[in-house]
Amino acid sequence: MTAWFSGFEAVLDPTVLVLIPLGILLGVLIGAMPGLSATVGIAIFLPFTFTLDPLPGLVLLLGIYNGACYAGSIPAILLRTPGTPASAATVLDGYPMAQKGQAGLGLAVSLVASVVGGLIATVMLIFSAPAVAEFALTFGPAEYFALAVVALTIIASLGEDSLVKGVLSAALGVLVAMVGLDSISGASRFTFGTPELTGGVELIPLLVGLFGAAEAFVQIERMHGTEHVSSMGSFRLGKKVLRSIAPTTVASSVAGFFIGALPGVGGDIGGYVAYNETRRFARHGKENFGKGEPRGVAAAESANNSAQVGGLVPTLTLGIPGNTAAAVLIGALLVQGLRPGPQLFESDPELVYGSFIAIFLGFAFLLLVGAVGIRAWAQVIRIPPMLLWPVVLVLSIIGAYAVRTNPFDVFVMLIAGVLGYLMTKGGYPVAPFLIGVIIGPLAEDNYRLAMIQSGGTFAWALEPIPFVLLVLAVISLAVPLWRAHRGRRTTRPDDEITQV
Amino acid sequence: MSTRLGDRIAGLLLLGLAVFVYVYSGRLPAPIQDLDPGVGYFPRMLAVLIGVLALVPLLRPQEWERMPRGVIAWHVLGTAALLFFYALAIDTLGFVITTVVFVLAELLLLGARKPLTLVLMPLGVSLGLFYLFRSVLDVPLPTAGWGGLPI
Repeated sequence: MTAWFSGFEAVLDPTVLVLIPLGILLGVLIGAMPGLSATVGIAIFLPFTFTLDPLPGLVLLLGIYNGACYAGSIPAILLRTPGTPASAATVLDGYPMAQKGQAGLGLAVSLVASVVGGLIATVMLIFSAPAVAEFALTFGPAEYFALAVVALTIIASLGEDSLVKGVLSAALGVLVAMVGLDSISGASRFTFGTPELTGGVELIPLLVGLFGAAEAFVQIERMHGTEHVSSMGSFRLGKKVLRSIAPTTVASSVAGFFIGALPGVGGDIGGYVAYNETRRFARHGKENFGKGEPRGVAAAESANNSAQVGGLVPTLTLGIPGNTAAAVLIGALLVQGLRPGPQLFESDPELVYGSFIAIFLGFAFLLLVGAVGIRAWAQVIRIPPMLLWPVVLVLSIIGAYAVRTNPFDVFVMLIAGVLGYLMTKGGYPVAPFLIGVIIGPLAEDNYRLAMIQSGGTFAWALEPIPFVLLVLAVISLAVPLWRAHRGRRTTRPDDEITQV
Repeated sequence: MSTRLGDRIAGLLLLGLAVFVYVYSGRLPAPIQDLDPGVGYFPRMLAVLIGVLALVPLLRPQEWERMPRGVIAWHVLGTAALLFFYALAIDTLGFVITTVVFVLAELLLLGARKPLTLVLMPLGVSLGLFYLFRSVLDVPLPTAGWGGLPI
């Protein structure tokens, strides 16, 4: 209880009270602009938090994290372009609603579902995270190594079309994390005499490169062509619609939270799963899905916001990113000298519990600004990308440069940007790479410690928790392989996963 | 030119990287502690994994998304070049001037032609962010002392 008290006290700080709504507002603006996802938004706003205290900085970024996730539905409904990947499933019924002249209703459903999803997930986070953290305090090196492996295999197996590319991406990320001084023996690796690399490749320039600069390259390429915005129609959400979306909103919120809590699994998957299940279990009007069914929008939006919040569970309790945006949050905490993990709940309760309260207040505020400004936010999508992306690039540069005021890091950002762009082109998912960079050291250090502790044998792998986790890791790789194999035998002879 | 060429090049580069990492890791110092697998162990395992998996894109390449052509290619390449210029120039020219040049060039590159945009955007972005970061947020940005001014 004292932890909660210190959390409340910390949130009452005037800076924090200003930054809660500011973060949400920025998040809504960012999410409403196609191409600016929560991840990109947090990455470009990182430098704003460098000199803030940890809680205000985290609160600002969490506002962007949640606000952007909601607002991604605005262009999804109006333009058929999800503002963030998390809103991909929202397009399925959101855009048909707009085509029927019900864009306003679609936006209203999305707002209510997002806020309900967020609030339910926040309550679930509040109840589950401290328990998970307490359990994780008992973890030793073997458990952490196994966790890192299962996190990496889950992320790699989600790769859009190729398991091999997902694993390659994750392995490359872990390899990048090996650069610099080894934390166990102090030996220097892969630095090639470059003093800037002694401490490893700086995480922040890498992040802003992979997400800020790479996304700018992608969007500059797609910039050509004009968008047609449908007419809005009424924004009124009648009792009938509310009653019809209520069950699916609650169910999708709960399901989204658990999906989001899996390492590396974000709102995009949460949204799709909830959408599909809602359609499958719909007792009536199944044929309306895909043609502008409000329940479809509600399922996708409540689940993606809830998954976003669920992603904070592994992020805060284990230091394992729940999704790419959460990976950037870890970067922000590391700059502040804080390492997320179970110890954080004991060492900095005001930060952990303060941020829980801030998330809750943020969603309540989102309902207010969403409802008041719903027409205004819909105009944000008209900002010409030509003016937007140069600003994103400048903010990315500031983020990269300001960590240690070194132009070397701007080059790192540029290289990461080009790499991220080429990976996108080649179908190599970027998320496993990033998460590999973040949990690579966790995997390596704990593997070596586990080996040392068990006298150089693999006995640790047979302990209950590591064993179960490693089996899960094998399953997470085997399932897509098996599916690809089955798929190849039946319909798609050119499926990509081969003999490896 | 087939778009599968991208995967072949990627596979080749990854294979080269794997061989390099494998050899390099073998030369890293031996562990101090007896039971520690050592600093070279993990990179070596990764090298093996990357090396084996790199054969897939190399031997069974998939289509890449088409690379941009013509004007659009110049937009992307030009943006990368401008970022390179930025990294080179920032410590000499200072944040304000470098950013004005960068934003102006980027806008021209992307096809902005309205005089008002071309004046207001570079100055606004540069001075606005400079003030915000230096004065409000205390984040250090480089200055060159142009004309005795703190910019």
